[in-house]
Amino acid sequence: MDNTFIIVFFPFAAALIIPWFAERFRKNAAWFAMVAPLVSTWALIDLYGEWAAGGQQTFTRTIAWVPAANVEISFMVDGLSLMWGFLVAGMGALIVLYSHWYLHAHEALGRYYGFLIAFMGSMLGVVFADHLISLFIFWELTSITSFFLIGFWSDRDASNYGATKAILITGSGGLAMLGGFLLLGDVAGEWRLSQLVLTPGIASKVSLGVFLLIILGAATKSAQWPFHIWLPNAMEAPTPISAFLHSATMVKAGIYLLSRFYPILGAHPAWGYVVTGFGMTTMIAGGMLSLRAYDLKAILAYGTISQLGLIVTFLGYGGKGAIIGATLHLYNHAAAKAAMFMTVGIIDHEAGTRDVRLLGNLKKLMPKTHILAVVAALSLIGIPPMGGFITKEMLYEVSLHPGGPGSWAWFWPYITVFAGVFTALYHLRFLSEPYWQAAEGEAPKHPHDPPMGMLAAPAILVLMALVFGLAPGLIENAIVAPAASATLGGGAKVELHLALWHGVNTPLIMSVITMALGLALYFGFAHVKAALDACARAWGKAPAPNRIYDASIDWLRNNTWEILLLIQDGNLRRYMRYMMVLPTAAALYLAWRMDWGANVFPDNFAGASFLLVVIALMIMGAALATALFRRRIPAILALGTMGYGIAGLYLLLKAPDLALTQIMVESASVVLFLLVFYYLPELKPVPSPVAKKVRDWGIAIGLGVCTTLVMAAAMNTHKFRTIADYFMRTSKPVAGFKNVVNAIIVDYRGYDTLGEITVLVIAGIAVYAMLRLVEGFKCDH
Amino acid sequence: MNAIFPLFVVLPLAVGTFLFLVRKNRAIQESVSMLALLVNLILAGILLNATADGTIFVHRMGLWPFPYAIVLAADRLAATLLCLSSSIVGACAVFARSYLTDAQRKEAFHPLLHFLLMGMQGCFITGDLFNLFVFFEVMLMATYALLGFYYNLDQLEMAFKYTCMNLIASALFLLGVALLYAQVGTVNMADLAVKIKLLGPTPLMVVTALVFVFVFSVKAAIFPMHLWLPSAHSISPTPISAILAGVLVKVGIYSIIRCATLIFPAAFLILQPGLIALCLLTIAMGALGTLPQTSIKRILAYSTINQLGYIAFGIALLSQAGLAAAVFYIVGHAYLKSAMLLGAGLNQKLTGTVDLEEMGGMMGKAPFASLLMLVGFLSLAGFPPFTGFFAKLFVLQAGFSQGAILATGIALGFGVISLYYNFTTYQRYAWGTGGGEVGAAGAGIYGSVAFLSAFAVIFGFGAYWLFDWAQLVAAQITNPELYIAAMRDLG
Repeated sequence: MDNTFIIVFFPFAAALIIPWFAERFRKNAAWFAMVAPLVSTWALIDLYGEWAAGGQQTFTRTIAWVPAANVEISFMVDGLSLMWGFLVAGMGALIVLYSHWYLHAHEALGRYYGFLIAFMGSMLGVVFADHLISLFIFWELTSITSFFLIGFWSDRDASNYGATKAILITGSGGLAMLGGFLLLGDVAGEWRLSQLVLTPGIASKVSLGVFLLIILGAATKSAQWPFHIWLPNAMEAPTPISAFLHSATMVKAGIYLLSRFYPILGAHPAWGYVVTGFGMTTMIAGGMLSLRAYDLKAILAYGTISQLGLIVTFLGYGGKGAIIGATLHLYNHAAAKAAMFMTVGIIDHEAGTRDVRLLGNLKKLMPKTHILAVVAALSLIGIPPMGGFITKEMLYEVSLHPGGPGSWAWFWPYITVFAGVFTALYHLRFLSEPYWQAAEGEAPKHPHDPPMGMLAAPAILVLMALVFGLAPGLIENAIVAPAASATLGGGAKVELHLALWHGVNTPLIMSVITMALGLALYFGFAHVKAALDACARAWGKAPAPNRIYDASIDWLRNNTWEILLLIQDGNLRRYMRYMMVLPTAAALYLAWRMDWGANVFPDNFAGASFLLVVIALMIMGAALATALFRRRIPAILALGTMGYGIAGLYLLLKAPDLALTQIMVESASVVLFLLVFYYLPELKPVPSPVAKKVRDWGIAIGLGVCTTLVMAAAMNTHKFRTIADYFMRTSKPVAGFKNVVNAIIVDYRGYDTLGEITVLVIAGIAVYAMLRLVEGFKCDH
Repeated sequence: MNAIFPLFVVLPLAVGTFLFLVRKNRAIQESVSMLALLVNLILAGILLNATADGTIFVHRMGLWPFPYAIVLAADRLAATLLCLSSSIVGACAVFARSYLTDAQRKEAFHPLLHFLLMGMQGCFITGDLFNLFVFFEVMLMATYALLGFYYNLDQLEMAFKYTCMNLIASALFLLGVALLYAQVGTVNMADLAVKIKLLGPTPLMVVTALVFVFVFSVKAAIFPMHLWLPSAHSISPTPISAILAGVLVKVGIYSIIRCATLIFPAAFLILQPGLIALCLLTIAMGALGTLPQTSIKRILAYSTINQLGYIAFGIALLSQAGLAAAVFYIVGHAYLKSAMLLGAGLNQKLTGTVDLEEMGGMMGKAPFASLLMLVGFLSLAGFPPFTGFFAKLFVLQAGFSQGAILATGIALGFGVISLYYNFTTYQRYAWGTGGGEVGAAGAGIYGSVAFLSAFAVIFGFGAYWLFDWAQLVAAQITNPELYIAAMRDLG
C-alpha cells in the first residue's frame, strides 16, 4: 500500500478499534493509541526518502471516489505537506505520551483516544490533500473531531458552549470555503492543487467574492479576528487537546491553506489587503486580550491568536523572505507553544487551578516544570540560543527587505517590533505571575512537580526548540526550505543558511530594542494594565465579536419562535388561507406577466340556453346558501340542492345516466348527513369581526372567479380531439356496453374504480379501528 | 416483467385485505405481513435490476390501446422509488412489531400499512395523470387512518388538519386535470407530453403547470404548501412518521419530477425563477422552524422541510446534473430521515420522551442508540463521509456550474443553520447531565434503526455507486422521448 494512504488512513482505522482496547486495558490505553502516530511517522520517513530520492519532485496519489461528480481522495507530496506531516504526526505521538499521565484511568479513554487519533488522521489528510474536495472533506473532519474533543467533559456547560461555538464558526467558515472551492474549480477548470499551482493566471480570473470565501475558511479556522472568539472557549478541552489541536496543528490549518493558496491566489489584488489586514488586526487584538486574561490557558490561547496573526501578516505581505520567515516561525511556535500548554496542564493537574491570581511561587514548588516553561517562553520571545531567536531575527530581517509590493515598506519594521514587544510582554507575564510572584489567593491543591513521564513530552519539545537554535542545519534545508519553496511555488528553490550569530546588524539592534521595550513595559505592567482596562471601558458595551455571537445565538433561540408563530401557529384556517391565497396570487402574477393575445375566452357564451343559465344560477345560489346558513340541516340541504343542480346540468348535456348517478349519490349523502347530525350537538358559530368576514368572502369569491376564468379560457382550446371520442366509438362494439359511462367506470378505467373502491375499504377499516379502540366508546353488545 | 409489475398494486391490495380478515390471529397476520413486504422488496429489486439497461416496462390495463387505456409504466426512476418505499416500509413494520405494544391496535395497523404501500406504489408505477389522482386518494385515506392511530385528541386534531389541507390539493389536482383535459383532451402522461409539446407553452399551459406545482407541493411540502408537515410528522405514531418523512413526501417530489421532465418541460423553464424562489423559501422555513423546537421529532420534521427544499432545488435547476443530484438526495434523505425518526422512537422507548428538555447524557447511558443518532445528525448536517454531505455537494455543484450562483449561494448559506440545529440537538440529547433512567428496547427496534442508518454510511462511502445510478436515472428522465416511445410502441 502506498505510504500516503498509510499515513492518513491508518489513524482512522486505528481510531475505530482504539475504544475497544481502551476499555479493556484502561490504564495502558495510551500505548495502543501510540501505535497510530508512530506508524504514520514511520511511513512519513519512508515517504520522505521516496520523495528525496525522486529529486524532491511533487507527486500525487489518487483514489477515485465519485468520478462522475469530480470527487476523489487524492494526496500530493511536496515539501510543504511533508513538513506539516512531520509536525502533525510527531506532535501526535508526544500528545499521546503526555495524555497517558494527564488523564485519569476512570475517564472515557476510548472516546478520547479514538477522537484524538481520528483528528490526527484528518489533519494529515488536510495537509496531504491534493483535490479541493479532498481538502474540504478532511477539513470538515478536523472540525468534527475538534467538536468532540472540546466537549470531552460533556457534562460541563462550558464544554458544551465551547464545542458549539467552535463547530459553528469553523463549520460556517468551512461552508464558505466549500462555496469558494466549487466556484474556483468551475472558473479554473481544475480541481487539483498540484495542477492549480502550475496553471498561470488563476488569480486574475477569480472574483473578489470567491477569493473572500476561501480566505474566510482560513480565517475562521486560524482564529483570525473577529472569528477568534471560538479559540478561548475551546480551551475547555483537556489540556493535551488544547496543545495539539488548538495551538500546534488545527488552528494552523488556516495558515496551511494560505500557504497552499499563496502561489495560486497570491497575485490576486485583494490578497495583500485582506490577508495582511486579518493578520495585523488579529495580532494586536490577541496580544491585548492576552494581557487582560487571568486563566493561564486563556493567556496562552490569546497569545496563540496573536502569533497566528503574525504569521498570517507575513503570508499576506508575501515575497520570498516573508514566506521563509512565516514557515520558520510556524515550526518554532508549534513546538514551544505546545510545550507551554503542557506545563499549564501540569500546573492545572497538580494545583487544581489555572487562575494566575491563585497561583504563585511555583518556581520553588515546581522547579522542573518551571525550567521547561521558561525555556519554552524564551524561545517564543526570541532569546538566544533558542530556535525562536533565529526565527525572530529572520522576521526582522525580512521586515527590512520585504519581498512583496513596496508601498508599505516603511511600516514593516515597526509593526514587527511592535509584535515582538507584545510577545515578550505576555510571555513574561505568563512566567512571572504563577512562577515568580506570590499568589493573591490560594490554590485548591498544594502544587508539586509531576512524575517524570508527564514532563517527558514538554521536555522533548523544549529540547527541539533548543536544538533548532544551536544546530539549525539539522532541519533547515531538509524540512523547512522545501516547505518554503513549495509555498512560493513557480519552481522556486530556497536555500537556507541559518545561524544564531549574524554579527551586529539591524535585526540584532531591533531585537535589543524589542527586549528593552518588553522589559520596560513588564516592569511598568501596572500602567499597561490600567491603560488596557481603560481601553476596555472605552469599548464598553460596543458590539464586540463575542457579544454579537451570543446575541445572535440568543436571538435564534428565543425570537425565532415568534417569527415561526406568524406562519405556523397551528391555526387551520390560517393555513388554508395561506394555501389558497399564495398560489392564487402567484398564478395571477404569472398571468399578468404573460402575453395572452386576443380571444382568451370562448365567444359562444351567448349560445347558452335559458335553462342552462337558470340551473347555473341555482347552483350558485345553493353554494352561497351553504356558506350562509348557520345551522347544519339547512346548510346540508342547500348543499344537496347544489348537487341536484349539477345533475340537472348533466341532463341538459344529454348524459341521463350520469345525472341518475349524481342524484343517487347526492340523495344518499344528504340522508347520511341528516342521520349523523341527529347525534351531533348544535353548531355554535363564533361571530367574527367584519374585517375578517370581508377578507374571507374576498378570498372565497376571488378563488371562485379565478377558477371560472381559467376554466373558461381552457375551454377555448380546440386543437386536439379528446379521448372521449374513442370511448363513444368503441363502447358498444368492443367493450359491449350500451352505456359509455358504465364502460368507462368498469372497463376503460376500471383500474381507477378499483382504487376508489379501495379508498372506501380503507375508510371502513379506519372506522372499525376507531370504534374498537377509542376508549369510552365501547358498545354494550 | 411487463405483465408482472402491476403486482406492486395488486399484491398490497390483496395482502391488506387478507390481513384484515385474519386480524384476530396475530401470529398469522404478522408473519404474512412481513413475508409480503419481503416479497414486495424482492420484486422491487428484480424490477430495479431489469430497468438498469434502460428498458421501460409498460402495461396497458385491460389491454386497451394507447392512449385510451390506463397505462402503467416503470422506468429507472419508478423502480428506484419502489425499492425505496418497500425497504423503508419493511423496516418500519419490523420496528412497529416491537414498538406498538397494544395488541388491539396492531389489528388494523398491518392492513392499513399495506394499503398505504399500495397507494404509494400505485403512484410510482402509473403513467396516467388521473390515475395518479386516484392513488393520491388511496394514500390520503390510508395516512389519515394511520396518522391518528392512537385516536387521542392531539392526533385526531392533527389528522383532521392534515386531511383538510390535503383536500385542497385534491381539489386543485382535479382543477388541473380538468384544465389539461379541456386543452389537450387526454390524461395519459406520454400523450399529454406529446400534445403539450405540440401546443407549446401557451400562457394557459404555464398557469396549468403552476397549478400542478402547487398540487404536488402539498405532498412534497414545498413552501407555502408545507404547513401540514410539522405536526403530522411529529404527532403521528413514530413508525408512521418514518414512512411519511421517508417515502410519502417523495411521492410529491416524484410527481414534480414527472411534471418537470415529461409533461411540462417547456412551461417549467418559464416558471424556473419562481420555482427556485419557492425552493429557497422552503429551505429557509425548514431551517427557521427547527430553531425553537424542543421535541426531536419536531426538529426532524422541520429538517425534512429544509431537506425537501434542497431536493426541489436540484429539480428546479432543470438540468441533468440537478436531477441526478436530486435523485441522489431523495434516496439518501429517505433512508436517513426514516432512520432518524425511528431513532427518535427508539429513544421514546428508552427514556419515555422525545423532548430534549427532559433528556441528556445519552452518550453515556445508551451508547449504541446515541451513536446511531450521531450518524444521523452528522449526515443531516452535511458532513463527510455520510450521504448528506454528498447529496448537498452534488446539488451545489450542479447549481454553481449552471451559473445560478446567487441562489446556490443562499442554499449553501442555510447550511449554517443546519449546522447549528444538528449539533445543538445532538449536544442536548447526548451530552449534559439531564434526563432520567434509561430502559431497554427490543432487538427489532435497534435492528431496524441500524439497518436504515447503515445506508447513511453505505451511500456515503459508496456514493459513486448511488450517484452513477442517479445519473442513469437522470439521463433517462431528461429524455422524455424514451418514455413516450415506450408507451406508444411497446405497450
